[in-house]
Amino acid sequence: MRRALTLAPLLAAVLALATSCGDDTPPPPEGFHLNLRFMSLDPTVLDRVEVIFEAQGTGEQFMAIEPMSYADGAITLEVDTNRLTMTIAGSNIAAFAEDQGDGSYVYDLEVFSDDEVPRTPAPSVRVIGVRGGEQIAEGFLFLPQWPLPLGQTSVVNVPCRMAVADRCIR
Amino acid sequence: MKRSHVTVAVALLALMAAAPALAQDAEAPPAAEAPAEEAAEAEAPPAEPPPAETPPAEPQAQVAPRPAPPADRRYARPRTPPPILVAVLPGERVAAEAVTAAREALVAQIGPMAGGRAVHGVGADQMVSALSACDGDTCVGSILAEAGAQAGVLLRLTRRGRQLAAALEIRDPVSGALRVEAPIEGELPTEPADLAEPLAGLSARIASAVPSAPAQPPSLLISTTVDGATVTVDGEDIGESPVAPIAIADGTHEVIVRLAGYRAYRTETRISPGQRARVDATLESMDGEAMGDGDNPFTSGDGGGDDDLLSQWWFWTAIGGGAAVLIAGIVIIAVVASDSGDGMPMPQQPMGIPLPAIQGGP
Repeated sequence: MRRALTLAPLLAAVLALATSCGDDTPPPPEGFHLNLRFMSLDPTVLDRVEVIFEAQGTGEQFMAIEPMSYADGAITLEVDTNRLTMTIAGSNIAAFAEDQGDGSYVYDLEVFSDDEVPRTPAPSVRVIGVRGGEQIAEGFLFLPQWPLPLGQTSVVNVPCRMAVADRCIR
Repeated sequence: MKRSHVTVAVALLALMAAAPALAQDAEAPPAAEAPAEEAAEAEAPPAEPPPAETPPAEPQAQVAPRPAPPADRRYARPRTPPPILVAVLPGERVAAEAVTAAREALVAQIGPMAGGRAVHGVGADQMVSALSACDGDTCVGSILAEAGAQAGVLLRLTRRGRQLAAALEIRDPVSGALRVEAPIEGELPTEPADLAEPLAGLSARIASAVPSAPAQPPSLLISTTVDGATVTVDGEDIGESPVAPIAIADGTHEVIVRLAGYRAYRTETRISPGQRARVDATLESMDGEAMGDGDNPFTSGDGGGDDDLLSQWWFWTAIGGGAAVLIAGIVIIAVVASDSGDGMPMPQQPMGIPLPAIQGGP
């Protein structure tokens, strides 16, 4: 009886320890999804894709930052005057672009901005697909709002340029 | 509710659960740990009847003295049953040789019937004369009582002509009441050697009258593997081993054998009426070589006895309570550490690539 009374709190303490195990931090909120929809274009032919954010308001420009890289260097980020350029390596595009079954491929780029000042109009986004130094695809979009609405998705259609249609396939 | 809050609640519950267990153990230590007098006073008499058989004799690590057993449980003192006196009371002209021969014949005849009790043939002239002179039962009874007899077998011999006549009386002491009166038909031969045969015919009458032998009191033999051990039965010191068998009352008895440097041996044995019981006490040395349960490092060998650490209530309580407090402490520290940033909430960065802010503009 005494041993049971002794073991009971011990067991309870062990259960408490087990309960405390695990991650107490909730997952981070979802960012803003910018879907790059490559149309009539084989994403494996791309050397790189440039995503250019451009502030629209007069006198607005992105805060200068040191060039950054993500995804083991597959994605780089740099600010040049009022343009923010994100460069995605072609291999990364080829790896993560998903075939939609309708001849298009969608690459999901998740970004966010912790800017507290809303900007109207919101910046625009221009997407350029490059192969061999040549722009073979291009898309354009005005972002729905700034700061970027978390959890929302906007699609940028990036069709192959008709003039270089043969360059968009292997 | 946050998981950390649940953790704190469970940890507090664990501590609250541990507290009463510790408190109960501290407030009510087992009787075996109490001083001898307290244990003797606190221990209630067993509610259940003692076991029907002798329980297996196992070495006991702890021995709590018991209260003195009731009077009816004390072992009986051995006593010698009183003898049966055989006397031949001669009449006139009865030869002394015939008297002696008749007495010896009766003693030889009664002996096997007496169940091992002493049968004394009275040859003293003074007692014989006194018995012969008695004219009442009380006189005979007083003489038998004074002699410490259980019964008296009296053979009155008288001479009839050239033959002998005989009458047998078996009387009780004190009252002198006549239990059996058996006149012998016919005449007895005068030759002493011829008296045995006619007296043998009295066997049946004598056997019916001689009190049956009382049942032998039960006895208990306590043997020990080591001499010099103190042996107690029901708390009463019997002596140092080796001890002779003791007469003991039937019932359940507690036997304890103690010797410095050895574990105390305790057992209870139930003794039936007339049983000759035996207890073999195996003493286990306190040093490591002779320990029966292996080299147990938790058993102290200081000769104090009964200090098996693993059987101590406080040992397990300390282990359990200490572990509970330790684990609860770790949990609380971990929870506090994990919640330390609650006062300064850090914005959680969304998934994806952060974009720099826009500056300037109107």
